[in-house]
Amino acid sequence: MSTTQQPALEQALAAALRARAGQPPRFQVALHAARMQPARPPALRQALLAGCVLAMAGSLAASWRAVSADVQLAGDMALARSLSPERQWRTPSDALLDAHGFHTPVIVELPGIENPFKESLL
Amino acid sequence: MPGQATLPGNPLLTEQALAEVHAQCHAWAVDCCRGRREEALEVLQTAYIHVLEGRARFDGRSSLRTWMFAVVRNLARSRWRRQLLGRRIELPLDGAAWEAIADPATVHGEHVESAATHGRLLAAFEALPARQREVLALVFAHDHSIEQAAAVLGLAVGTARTHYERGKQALRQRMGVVVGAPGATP
Repeated sequence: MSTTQQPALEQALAAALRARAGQPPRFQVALHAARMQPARPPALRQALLAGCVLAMAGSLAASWRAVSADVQLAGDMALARSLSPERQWRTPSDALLDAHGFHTPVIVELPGIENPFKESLL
Repeated sequence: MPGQATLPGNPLLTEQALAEVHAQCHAWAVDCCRGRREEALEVLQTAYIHVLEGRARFDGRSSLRTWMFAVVRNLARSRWRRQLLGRRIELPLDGAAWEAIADPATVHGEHVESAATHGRLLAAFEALPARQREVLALVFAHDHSIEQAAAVLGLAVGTARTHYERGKQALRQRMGVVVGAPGATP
């Protein structure tokens, strides 16, 4: 059935389901997180994905996006930023991180990815 | 950019092919998790892990989208069963909660019904039996034919058609009016 043939109720349902789904995480980041899975606890992966979602939503500071156009790196940095010991780079994802038990600072080493904020994290 | 090389655990799949169905799989995962987005992210990521490790292997007998939808659904159901056993079921959101979530301005720039209507619709939708919900979501929100929906759900086409018709009828009854129809009461 094509969209144009759908009665109004069905079209409205389709729109409601699309609104409920929201924006997907960036594919490259999602795949990267999946590849990293064996080395990461689920909450950490979820936090990484949450960072990606925030990046997609434009919630991250422009300076962070400017560090790298690479979405994979941007996602990882969103995580590192959220976990800053000084908490001076807190992002809206903090609530999610707290909800998953990240109450203490965690430094994440990401293979093959240079983290320019490592000094700050340490 | 997604690569053209095949995935180690799935010789018939490339990153590029997977990327093309990524957004649809995400939306379907949210439907399978009854709107719980964080849970849907976990399910989607678990699906990618299964694909990367070859635990779910694409054999080309169906479209990639149909196959991925089936993988996502199976994982969501497995997760649901584990939660059920652990008595950690989260209740589906009620209509008011859906109204708070549904933001018509974010729906791909389309003009859509009000958030309140979304909330009522989703509440009525979530009250349907699982199979009816799944068939309706696949057909209306994911542009599947009934035959394709049957393939995703592992049902006979006739059975899927029955769920489709009953689901539509039940949804209309629950809503009471045809949304957007001339003369329909708000």
